[in-house]
Amino acid sequence: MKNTIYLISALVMGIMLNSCEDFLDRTPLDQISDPEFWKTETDLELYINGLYEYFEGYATVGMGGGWTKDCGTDIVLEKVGAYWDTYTQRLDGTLTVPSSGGGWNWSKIREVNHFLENAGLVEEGDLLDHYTGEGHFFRAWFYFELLVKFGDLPIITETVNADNEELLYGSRSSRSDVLDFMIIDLDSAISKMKLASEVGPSRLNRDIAALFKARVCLYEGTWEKYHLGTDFEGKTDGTDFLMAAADAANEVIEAGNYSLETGDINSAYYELFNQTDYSKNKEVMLYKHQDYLAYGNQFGNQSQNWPNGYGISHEMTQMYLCSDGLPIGISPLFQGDSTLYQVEINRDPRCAQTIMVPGDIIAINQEDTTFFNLPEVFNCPTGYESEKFRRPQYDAESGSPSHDVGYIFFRYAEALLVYAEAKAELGTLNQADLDKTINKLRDRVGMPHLTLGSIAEDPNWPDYGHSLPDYVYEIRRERAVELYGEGFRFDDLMRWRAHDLWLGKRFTGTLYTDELKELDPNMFANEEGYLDPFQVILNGPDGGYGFHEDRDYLLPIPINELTLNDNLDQNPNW
Amino acid sequence: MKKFRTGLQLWCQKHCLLKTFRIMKLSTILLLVSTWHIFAAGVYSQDTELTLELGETSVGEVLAEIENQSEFYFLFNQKLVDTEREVTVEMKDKKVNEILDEIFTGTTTEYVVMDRQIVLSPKEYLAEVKASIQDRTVSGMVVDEDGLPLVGVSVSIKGISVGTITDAEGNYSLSDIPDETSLVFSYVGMLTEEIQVGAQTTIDMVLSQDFLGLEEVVVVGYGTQKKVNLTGAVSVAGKEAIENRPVSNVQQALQGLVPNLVIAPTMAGGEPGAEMGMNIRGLTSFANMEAEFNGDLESVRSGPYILVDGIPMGMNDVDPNDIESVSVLKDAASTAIYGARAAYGVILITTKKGEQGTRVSYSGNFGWSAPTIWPDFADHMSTIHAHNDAAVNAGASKWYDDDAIERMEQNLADPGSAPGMIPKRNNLNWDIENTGMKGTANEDWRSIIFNESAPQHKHNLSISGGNESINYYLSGGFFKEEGLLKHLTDDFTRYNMDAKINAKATSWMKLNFLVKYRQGLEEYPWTQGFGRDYMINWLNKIKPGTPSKYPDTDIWTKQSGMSRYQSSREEYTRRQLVISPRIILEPVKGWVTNLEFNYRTNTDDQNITINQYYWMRPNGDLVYTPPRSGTEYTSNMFTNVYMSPNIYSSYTRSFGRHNMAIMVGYQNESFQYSNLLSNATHLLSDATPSLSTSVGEYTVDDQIGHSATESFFGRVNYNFSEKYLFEFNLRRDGSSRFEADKCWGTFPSFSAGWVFSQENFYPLKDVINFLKFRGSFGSLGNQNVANYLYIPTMAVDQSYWLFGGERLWTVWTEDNTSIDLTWEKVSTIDFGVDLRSLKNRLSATFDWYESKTTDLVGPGAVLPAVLGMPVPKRNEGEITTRGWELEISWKDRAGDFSYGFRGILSDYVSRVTKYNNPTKILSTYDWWGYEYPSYYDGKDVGEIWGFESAGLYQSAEDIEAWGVDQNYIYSGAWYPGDLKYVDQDGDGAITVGENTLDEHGDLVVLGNSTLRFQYGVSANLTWKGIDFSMLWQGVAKRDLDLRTRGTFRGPADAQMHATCYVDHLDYWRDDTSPLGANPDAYFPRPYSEYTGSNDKNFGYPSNRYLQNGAYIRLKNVQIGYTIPSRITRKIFVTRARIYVSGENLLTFTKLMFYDPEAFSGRYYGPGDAYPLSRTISLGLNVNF
Repeated sequence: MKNTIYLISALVMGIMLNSCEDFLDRTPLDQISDPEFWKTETDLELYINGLYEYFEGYATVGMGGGWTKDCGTDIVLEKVGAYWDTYTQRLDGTLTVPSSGGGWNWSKIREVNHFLENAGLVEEGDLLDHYTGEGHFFRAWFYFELLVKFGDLPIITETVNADNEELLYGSRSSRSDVLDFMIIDLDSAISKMKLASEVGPSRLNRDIAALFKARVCLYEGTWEKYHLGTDFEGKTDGTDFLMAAADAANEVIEAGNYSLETGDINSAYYELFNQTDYSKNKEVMLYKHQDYLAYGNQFGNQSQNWPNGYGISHEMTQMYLCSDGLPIGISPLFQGDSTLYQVEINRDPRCAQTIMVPGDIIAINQEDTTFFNLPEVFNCPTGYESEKFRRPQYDAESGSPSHDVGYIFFRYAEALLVYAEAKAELGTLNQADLDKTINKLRDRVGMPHLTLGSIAEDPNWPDYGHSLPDYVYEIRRERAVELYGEGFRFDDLMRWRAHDLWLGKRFTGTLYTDELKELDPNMFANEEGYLDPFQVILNGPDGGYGFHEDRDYLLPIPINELTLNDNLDQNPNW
Repeated sequence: MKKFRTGLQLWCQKHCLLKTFRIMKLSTILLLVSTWHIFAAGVYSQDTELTLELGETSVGEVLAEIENQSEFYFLFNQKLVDTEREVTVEMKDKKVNEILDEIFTGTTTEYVVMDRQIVLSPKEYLAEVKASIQDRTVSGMVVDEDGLPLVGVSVSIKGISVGTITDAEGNYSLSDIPDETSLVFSYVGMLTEEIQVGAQTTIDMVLSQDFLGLEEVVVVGYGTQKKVNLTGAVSVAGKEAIENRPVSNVQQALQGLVPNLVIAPTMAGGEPGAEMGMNIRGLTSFANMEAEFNGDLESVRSGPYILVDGIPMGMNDVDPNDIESVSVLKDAASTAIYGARAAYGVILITTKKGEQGTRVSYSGNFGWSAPTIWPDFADHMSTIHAHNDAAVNAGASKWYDDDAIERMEQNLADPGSAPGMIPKRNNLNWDIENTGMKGTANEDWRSIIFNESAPQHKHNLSISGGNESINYYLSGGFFKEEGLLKHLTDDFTRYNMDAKINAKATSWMKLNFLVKYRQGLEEYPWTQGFGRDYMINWLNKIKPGTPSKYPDTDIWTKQSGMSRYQSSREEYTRRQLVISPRIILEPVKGWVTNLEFNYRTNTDDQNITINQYYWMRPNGDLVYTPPRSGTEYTSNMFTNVYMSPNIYSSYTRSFGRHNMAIMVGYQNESFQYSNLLSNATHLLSDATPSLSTSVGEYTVDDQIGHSATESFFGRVNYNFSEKYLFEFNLRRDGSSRFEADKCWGTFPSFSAGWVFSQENFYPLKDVINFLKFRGSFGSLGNQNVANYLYIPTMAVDQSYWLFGGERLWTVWTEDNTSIDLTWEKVSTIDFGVDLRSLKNRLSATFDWYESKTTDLVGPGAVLPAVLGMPVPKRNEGEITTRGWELEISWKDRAGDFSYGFRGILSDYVSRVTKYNNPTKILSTYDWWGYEYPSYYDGKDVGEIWGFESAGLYQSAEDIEAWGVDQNYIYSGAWYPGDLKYVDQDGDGAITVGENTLDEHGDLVVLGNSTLRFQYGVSANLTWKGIDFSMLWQGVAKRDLDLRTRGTFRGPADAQMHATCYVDHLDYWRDDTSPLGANPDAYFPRPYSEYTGSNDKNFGYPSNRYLQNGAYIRLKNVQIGYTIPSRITRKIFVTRARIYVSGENLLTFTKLMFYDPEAFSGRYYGPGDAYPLSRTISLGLNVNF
């Protein structure tokens, strides 16, 4: 009996003594803890590589819809009812103040701030500066996303924590100050980053940072110029930003690391946008590489769903000059546009290379080539489908359209357009400036040069709401034509304060011919017989867009944010 | 040898009783406390020598010590024998009669020794007892309702304590039986029977189970407790309610049986073998509430802690047929012994074990299932017009043009006479949308989708038996359920094995060995990028005009989804092995030490194959998709090991009327998991998918981790004369999931009970036989949070940007959203009453409780978005839950007819009593941009905020006249058929004010989604061999906001999600619609859009579209027949029963479209839950 008691006691004691605190000390086995990180240059690379994810490309496979970034503006109309593009709602003035969310998202800023705070802990490495420069670029990139939505922003340069009241409940800085802050970041990026020849075509580099600086400075320069005196003004008239834009663009041009990709005037432009691999391209500075077959849905795009529920507006087609360099209102070469095919006869070759007309190739599947016949108006509300970005060559292995068309974020042509526009807005544009920019673009497609002093007056120049020098109209036309579908249009409309372009108006499509009616009998058309897809859905005067010019240039700050932070003011008139 | 303490009624002979009746009544104690050994058969030697060195003590102590040292037990009336009398006892190696002679010398007390039984009584009574004994012998056999012999049944002569117990064959024999008397048969857990002896010499007896038995023993944490002595809130479900149900798992069987045990389907709905979500008394954490809000019940962490035979396991890892009993521990006093695991209640499942005498049992069940509720599709033409109306309303063109309508009409008149779809001009595509819209075929999709009846069957074979020194239980179970879908494979198969051996190694040591093995196989269609069940989502959206096959072929259309879901599949095999060797030591009587080692290991394989399928172009070409290189094989292996030594030691002792038990214990747990995830693309052949036969990209990943806990615990029980009951529990837990300085927590509880009916002055004994009041208080912790929350970690992943065509490695930003976490704490106060009335036929239990959950890990304070990350979780929330539960049962017998009813009713309300949301903002967005309600002080959990609707606009004038600016809801144009909203604050506009509780504009509380007044009612009847039972279960009140679900909106959704059931046709339209005007509609003007204009009517919760989630459901009804044993015995079958059983046969609910238990599917929102099954089955139980 006693032995039993000893036995039990020994067992119990044995187990209890055996268990010291170590038993409960269990650290992660498959994750890295943050304090242990940030040792080598490779750690910086591992972290910064994750931020590239935020370059948004075309909609990924399976997401449905949304292929072109300009969808919802005046030049690309979406199919009614199918999508929820906020651009259309914004131009129509139907957004409401959300209780929270609404784009007021600071997670990316936090991510990049965490990087920049810790990058200094790493002391050695050839690419140390380069990765740090990428960090500065990303912070400016993320700030720009917020700036175009909300204008004034709090400037946050450190990782915010839950107890950091000063930052959490801070106020917004003027947009001009935000821009100055972004310029500092971009200047750091430019000074620290290496060239494409050193880091390869998939990474950010010095030229990209310079071009992005030009982009944001042009944006802010024109914004402050045209919104001066309104509720949306900055601290300046924009001149300094415009000069910075021109300088930065010139830096890219003068560096000579990139140039226009030229070739046959009737195909070079078209071919620039439907490639799967731009790594050897002279013009493309940064693009999103896709590989659907190797990596699946998130690495492919929706190209098989053409026309993806959107269509180019009739108004966009009218912007293309005739091949004599004159606008359609005065050129004898203009053939009218009552049929789809007519629209591209005697026009700027970029028209033919952008718009799909009967006879264009839509599919090359092994031996079979399929030609475009008529648009699916049901899925393309204007009847003008895009030929730009459309890759007819089917993927040999899958026998279906390629999902791998690369999405371009930066190409050299933009530097030329920024330089010309900035100089034009500054009033310092000369012919040499035009020759090294706009006329280079025209040369690629064989169009006559733009010559200062002999610009023909176009009776149909768009009403931007301001009276402009003739060359500014033409530079803006050039920008719309060259960069169609590349995601610049909405920002352009906002920075130009161009609401007269759409307020109370509707944009149209092609002539709703009997042929089209037979195919899709229930579409809306206007009195002249042109497709009028938004006939009954817009909420402004005369059945047109209902933009509120004193409100809708910026998005509202969510109600909750205002409730939580007394130092935050709502954007004008929301 | 286990000693059961029990009460035995000792009656004097009739005339003797008359004399003492008055005294007895006054005393109220008709129970003479005693103990006896039920397993000891045979004659016990009166020569056994005892040593008593007790010094000065009471008579009671001496008797108790004799009982302790020997197998003798005493029967006496405490009123008639003075046990308080002091005596001095110093005796060595004396026989029992020598001891008794000494202590009772000079008193009126005499004794009679009959075998192990010693009756103490005043001389005059005992003389009469002795005199009445006559020379006659009665013998017989005692069996249970299954015809199996009962061992150890007490058989006694009524009025006196003379009796015996049955032997291993259930036989007994009593001599010296007087004529005018009755025999009383009693046995733990069985109804006591009484029979007149008359002239009989053979009396066989069948004892039936006593569900209300006073002697019922309840399994509690680390031990058992007599139900009458319980001080905590514990509910019990016995095997009889669980066996023989045609259900796939234990959860289904328990639904509706235990008050405030909430069991509801998860987003897996009625998938074959699906697990359900559980909570006890509504106790939950913020994390759970969020998961529930998102319909993501699989990530619910803090459910009840479930132990099967003391080993933590899943509830459904057990074959329902192996279960002996289920104890649900609800209040903190009952669960505190499990400390930090038990914050949300504990469920103890005890499986069957071996008994003496060999038994072989087989039970089998064959069932056929069909969906409970699947709404009826609207007729083809109405569907077409409804979709067209929605398109026109949205400013788009009609989906179906005149030509399509004509074709549809033609097809309806003469099926197949017109094409269901037509080739596009290029002959490469068809004119129907990917969503099936525009199709004009005449299909009956309901019959294409569902089987008329899907088979299921289950079998369980068990063998048990043993003798005094060893017993065993061995069982094997098999269950297979086929899914409801006709053309797709979705099956669940489960094998169970349960083995138990108990051996008596020495007189002071027993050895137990448990092995449990479970293997389950789930087979489902799989969808790349989505997962399991996506086909249900798809089938929910099918349009009746969608052609199922390509013209003149047997090839499924792409739009039917069938070929896609047939080509890809998931096979998930789950294996679990539990081994638990145990040693039970009892070196000294009453001191029991358990040494247990619990080992559990899981090895699960998930294999997913994505094969090619094809569709057909109009030109006859077959298009294979995905491309060969896109075919995929995934092989995941999930393994883990749980190990836990447990030591606990208890000492039980009675000193006279003082009964004490003390228990202390130690436990530690370690858990390690190691998962290997692999995937390869480009299968060379569909037939043999494997990594080896893949030639594309390979990815391999792993997940490894570990956690541990360490605990000390103890309990003290004390009761005085089973009248005043006290219990104290304490547990100290350490957990590796928290930082070193926060990892220990101490959790105490205290409870007390008062058995009022034991008091002398108890006034109600004619009405209520038994009345007990209970009260408890305790606090518990919850360590059920993820591992390593206190360490900011960085996850490694491959980049989503291709660098030079390759994915590079990336490290995600640090996740420090949950540092500084420690235990959530739940404190519960509980008051309960147990009563039995009308000779124990009626019993009732009522409990009221309040639980305060503090330090809740919440999503943290509501902070400005510039924080840039999800707000760090902190222990700062507090929820108070108040509820009550009532259980009433009735059981009686009249001749051959016995019947019972049982009803449970429970309710609770939870309120957030503290939350770091100083501005009391009403809603916020989660990390992915979904708006969800936020918490604030004083918020009732489940509260639904929204706008009050005043009906639908009928005309442009009506809109004008209403005059409320509804731009906040939708700033575009409003039309007749849209909702008008009530301007609560009279400012002429609908707003949310500042979106805070104080300034909430026109928002009001519309309802609450909490399940209120849950109830279950069961009834059973038996008459001769026939038995009948049924169980109803329901919820009396619940509001559901289902407006975001595509299937609720019907045509008012974008084409993909648009569907049209019969009830959807009740939408607003004017006379321009081909369906005619419908101004009094329920549904608003539909728009064929995802959101946009639909936001006018569905963008915010409104009372108009709040649904009533109340329901009552006939969960189970069963009719059985037991073939008389005189027939079955001829084929060596002791008992055979056949039965028919039905599950979910009837449902009454006002809820539109959905099953009230399954409306949240896996894919969030569209109402795509896998339907629950209505099952009819045929079953058989046979015992040999």
